[in-house]
Amino acid sequence: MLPVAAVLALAVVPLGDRAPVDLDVGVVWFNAMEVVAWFVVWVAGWGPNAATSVAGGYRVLPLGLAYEIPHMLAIITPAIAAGSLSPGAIAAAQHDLWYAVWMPAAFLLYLLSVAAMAFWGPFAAPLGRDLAGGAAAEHAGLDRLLLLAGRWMLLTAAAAMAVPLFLGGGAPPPITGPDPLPGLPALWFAVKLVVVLGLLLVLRRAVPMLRMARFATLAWVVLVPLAVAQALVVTLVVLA
Amino acid sequence: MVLRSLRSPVARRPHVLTIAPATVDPALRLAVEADLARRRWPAADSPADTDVVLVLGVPGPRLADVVRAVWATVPAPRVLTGVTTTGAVRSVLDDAVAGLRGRSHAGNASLRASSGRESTSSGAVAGADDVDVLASGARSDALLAPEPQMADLAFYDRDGLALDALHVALGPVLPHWPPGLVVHATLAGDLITDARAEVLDVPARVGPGSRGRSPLGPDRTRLDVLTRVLGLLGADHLAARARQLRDRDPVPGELTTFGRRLRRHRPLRWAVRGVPLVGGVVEERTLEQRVANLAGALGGSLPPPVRPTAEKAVQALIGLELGTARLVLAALDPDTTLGAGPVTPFAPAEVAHHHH
Repeated sequence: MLPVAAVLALAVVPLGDRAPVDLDVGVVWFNAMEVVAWFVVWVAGWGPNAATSVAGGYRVLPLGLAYEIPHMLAIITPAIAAGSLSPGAIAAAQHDLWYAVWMPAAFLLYLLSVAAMAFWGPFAAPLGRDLAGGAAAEHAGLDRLLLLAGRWMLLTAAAAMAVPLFLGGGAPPPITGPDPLPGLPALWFAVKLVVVLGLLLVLRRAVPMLRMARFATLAWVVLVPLAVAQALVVTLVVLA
Repeated sequence: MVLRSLRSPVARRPHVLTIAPATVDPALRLAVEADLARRRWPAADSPADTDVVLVLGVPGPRLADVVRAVWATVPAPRVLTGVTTTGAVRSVLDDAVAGLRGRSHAGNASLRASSGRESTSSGAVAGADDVDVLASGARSDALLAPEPQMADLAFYDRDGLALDALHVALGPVLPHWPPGLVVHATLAGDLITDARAEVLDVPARVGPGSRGRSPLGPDRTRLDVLTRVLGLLGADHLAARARQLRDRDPVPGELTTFGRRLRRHRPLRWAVRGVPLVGGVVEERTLEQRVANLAGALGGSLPPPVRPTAEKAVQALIGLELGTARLVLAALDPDTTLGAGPVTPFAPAEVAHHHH
């Protein structure tokens, strides 16, 4: 299930200049797929009828409640600026200025929520070591392989979405002038994806696993207002 | 077959589940952890994640039952082995990886520690599919579950959700868990509403004689505790550094530098904030203070940190969420060699049903 969610989420991301499935509402589709991932982890925890496992599964809930609102505001902000919900159109709207520069708070919030979407790094609590693996504790063999591989795929898919939303998709950086590698949008996409994944590794190294109670406080007191403020600023600029 | 081709990479870095009795020699435990780290073999999170089950020292009859129950849930390819002396660690682990690759000499060795008779020491490797190893020895009462019971409603209710009261035994096989400790806990959701401590195979309290002392010496004790707390927090590179300093003789300067680095680590401080530490010493009333004191005293001349009895440490868990309770228990570092009061007969946790 988790790999399926990851593949379906990745389907709407323009890998280069064109998405495998170019939906007009790609951003919404992408967001729906991550809710599938919540469901998968919760069911994986609930299924084995074990205390640590179900406690891990239920951690999806506070985690989701905490990160989802800033996350949605963060992905809606570029959509507002571009006036489209299609990732391809959002990428194309950034030909002179990347949204990562124009809306840095939304970009940072999106990076945080990428890790949270994949239950990884600081947000690994549902699969945490303190619960002996949490939702994954009782799964062995192929089940375990699919669960953990799906987590990596989801992380990569979410990181890939950051490229069209904030880093100009398959286009070269605006500062280089003429494209030094013309006709290779997939290459630019790959380079940017590697950079995003590198940033995520830095995040994991810098921040220990967050307890859900702590993160919920941070999310509602700091991250949600920040996301709202960012969306408001962008909206005002677009309307002006 | 895919699984067959996956076998050799798995055998290269197997996930190891270590099980230690309360009376384990700390030097042996440290030697094993150091050797596993040197080989870069990860610690297994749970039996389902395990390739090699490694039993340290000589488990008593109750822990041997636990080992048997754990072994029954480990997926193949798997190896069960034991080590009793520091010198044998390396060869035992070499044999274990050979066993995983399929060249196991199953049958000529078994783990009979349960019966109390000659526990095989170094070369005890049970083969990949050799389940018979476990059938020998004492009857396992851990496997005789009682009739399932319906759960009661929780008496103490944090959120007014009328949750089931769930009786579970936590431990003794969990990552970064005090050796031999079992916490008989009552859970309402993920909240511990009641907890009793039991130390497997240590009959009664030995008395306050060894209290607060660890055979490791002050700094290594602190680093040992910090290794576990940081490991539970998922701060893997800091945990690895703490373990590295613990396992060799560091220059005092390195210790103070590391202590300062921990104390200045803002995300770390933020992550351990807001957790009460009931029954700790006066200056350590919160988890944050405890961790800060452990880190701050590194390389200094302060007396070693106080290690409470298992009973006292487990009392501090009541009212905490499971993950937080794990952190508190790791930070308190109870001395399980002291035992824990009268031993309650081990009743497998009552089976409770979820109605969701």
